Amino acid sequence: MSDPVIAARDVRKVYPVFRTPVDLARRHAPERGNAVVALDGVSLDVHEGEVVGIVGRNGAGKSTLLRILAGISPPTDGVVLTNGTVHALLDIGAGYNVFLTGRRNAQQRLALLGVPRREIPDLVDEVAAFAELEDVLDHPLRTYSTGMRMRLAFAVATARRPDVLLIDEVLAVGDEFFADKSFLRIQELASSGRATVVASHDRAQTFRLCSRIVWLEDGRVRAEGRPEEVLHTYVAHLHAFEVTGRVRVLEVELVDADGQPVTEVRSGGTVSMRVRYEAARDEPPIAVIAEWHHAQTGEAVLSAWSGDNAFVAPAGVGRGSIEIEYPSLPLGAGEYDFIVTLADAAQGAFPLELYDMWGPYTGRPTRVRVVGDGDGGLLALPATWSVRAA
Amino acid sequence: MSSTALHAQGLTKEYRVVDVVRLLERLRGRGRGSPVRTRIRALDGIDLRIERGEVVGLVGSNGAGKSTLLRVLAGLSSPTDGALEVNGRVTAILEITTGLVPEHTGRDNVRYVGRLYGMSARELAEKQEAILDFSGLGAFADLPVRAYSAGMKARLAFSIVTSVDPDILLIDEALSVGDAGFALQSRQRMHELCAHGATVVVVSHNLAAIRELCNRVLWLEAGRVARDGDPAEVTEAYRAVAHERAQEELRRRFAGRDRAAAAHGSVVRALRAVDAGGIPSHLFRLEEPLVLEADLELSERAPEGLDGVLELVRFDGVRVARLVEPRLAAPGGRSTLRIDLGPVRLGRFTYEARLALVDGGGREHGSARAVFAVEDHAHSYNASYYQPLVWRAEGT
Repeated sequence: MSDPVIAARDVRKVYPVFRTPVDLARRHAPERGNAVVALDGVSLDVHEGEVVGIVGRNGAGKSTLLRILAGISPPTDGVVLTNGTVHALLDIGAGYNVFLTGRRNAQQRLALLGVPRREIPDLVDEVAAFAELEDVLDHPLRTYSTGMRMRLAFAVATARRPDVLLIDEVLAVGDEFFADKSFLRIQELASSGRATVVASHDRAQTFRLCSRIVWLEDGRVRAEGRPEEVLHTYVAHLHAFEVTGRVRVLEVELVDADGQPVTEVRSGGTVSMRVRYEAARDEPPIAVIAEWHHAQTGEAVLSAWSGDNAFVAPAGVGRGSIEIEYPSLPLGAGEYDFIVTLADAAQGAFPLELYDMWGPYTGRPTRVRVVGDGDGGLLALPATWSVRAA
Repeated sequence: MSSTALHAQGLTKEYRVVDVVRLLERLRGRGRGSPVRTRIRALDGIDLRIERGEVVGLVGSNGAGKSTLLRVLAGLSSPTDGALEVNGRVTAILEITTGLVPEHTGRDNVRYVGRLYGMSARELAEKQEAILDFSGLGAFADLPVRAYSAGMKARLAFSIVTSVDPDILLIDEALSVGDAGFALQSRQRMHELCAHGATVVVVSHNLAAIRELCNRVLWLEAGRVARDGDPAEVTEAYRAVAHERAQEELRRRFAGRDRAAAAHGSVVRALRAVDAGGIPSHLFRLEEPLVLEADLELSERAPEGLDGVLELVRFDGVRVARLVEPRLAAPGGRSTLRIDLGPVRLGRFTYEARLALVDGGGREHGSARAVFAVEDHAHSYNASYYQPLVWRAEGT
């Protein structure tokens, strides 16, 4: 394999802690309790053409690692070698002057990014067009709304393609339609360049964008591999802290229109999830979240909260069952995992505490094969075709 | 104390903008007639009375003045004209890092920002641990804030500000930073604050959240109050207008992306998405009927019985569907092909549809593309497809 574009070896970052003035004179070491280890021996090679995603909770060390790769912050120990121009999108809003016009700000930023002077005017026009700010480009930034500022900053930051692109948290900005457009742009940049490293909390987008995932935890690499290799253990880890078990799911079965258990489902067929549960104590009404995840990508293809349909399962002690019917399963052929989550209905669509979750992340069997005709893509959609002479 | 928390009369905020280039031209004696100074009216005479305990949502398109109004209400920006009366302690979360000092540790920032927001020393001593606990910073609490990631800063700021027991709380959207766990925590905290009788003014693009949280909604339009009242009514009215506007916006944005390519003597001249009335559309609401319409022109050289292949590709490159209609019965000359996809149930994203005519050997005889987007405000979860479900329960 060729030389890596980025090579980081045993990178350590220790931040000293100063609680009192005396600390200024003390030696700082984690074992003395007056230093925090943000990165603890991380090694990372990024090769030509790779898009690497760094995932992990807040505080796992993602941002620290990107700052070190970008050369913004020096490592306490270890070596970072980069080969080519590195451009970091770490804090895209920083350094804008609110008293200057959008145009002037864009010009300055582009010059800072190393764009040759004569190319700047054309590039500014491109930036304005992408950010949809042509009409207000000559107004000062202080008159811009929050969304307008974000769009400008994003358009400027992504206007030129460096050799190595480092991105923190800015996969998508703006309203929902602009977010689609900005993600597309990041995808183009990532696929056309020599190497890209991304750290983001948007799990679905990161896993889709990247060819390799590095999972950081407490400053160390916990796991590394292709997205589908890391996905399930990672998601299991994210969910682990939430389950209370006050209502337990005993079993989830897939049944066909006649109520017979099935292990294989046909695209467009009728299928129901039959959920049997048990409540040890008297619990409030239960809401259900029912999902079908694509086994390879982890994408939540179908995802519904029963509250959106004003449905809750009755309260009480003892056993009960819930049936969720998919009148015509729209999934394309492939492997899926179904996931059923029970929670207190009063906690809303995004409960903090779950009663129980039946899914691959909690060690329950959920794999199901959907069969259909040929390679149709993610979904099997019904359509009627007709032609008439003009 | 009076029962009114905020009372604004004729609130106006005007930005004066001097065009330096024109000014120089004018000084050189040229460019006469073109205005050197322009005024941008961000707020245009807003009359508003918010009673104690009201939870008010602000909606409006980009640049309607939502952020400016919050800034003026918070006292961060002074109005050009009009009067503002505020009764009670105002706390505002307008920018993620409001007031955080990068050189101080998280712990010191809790004290410092807490005092800034008017908490007493005793209150702070009591709450400091709870605040740090809620922020989930762990060992980072003793590090300077400059070492934090954007998500960690947001968690800290949010934790401090919402612990103040504010009389009046002003919140600008942009709270969606941090990992999924914290997003849930902060949503719960907002609910608690609203339930505990604080007066809240919140700006968000998420209409479903506004509707759930607020008991009154203001719709701002070019710096004026366009509508004020019941959340369901106002958000519904706003949604209708926003839909039209987005439609217009998308038409502009997608112009040039709907295109056709001809090959081998047969042509798909154009492809377009049309709504129930047969009118070309770029934006579909969930459950609205979606039809793709193509203009075909088959020359005499075109082979018999071409297959129609329709692909739908989502903005992120995922092929969501591939539909094949074998041996399309298209007559020679010009014809119109309709592909009726029924009610739209695709996820709320942008899509590109590509239609190709393909012969038995897999060779393409012309193709065309069209772009459309789907919007949805009814579902709590994002999904690739929204299948209507039947839920049943058997009691315990």
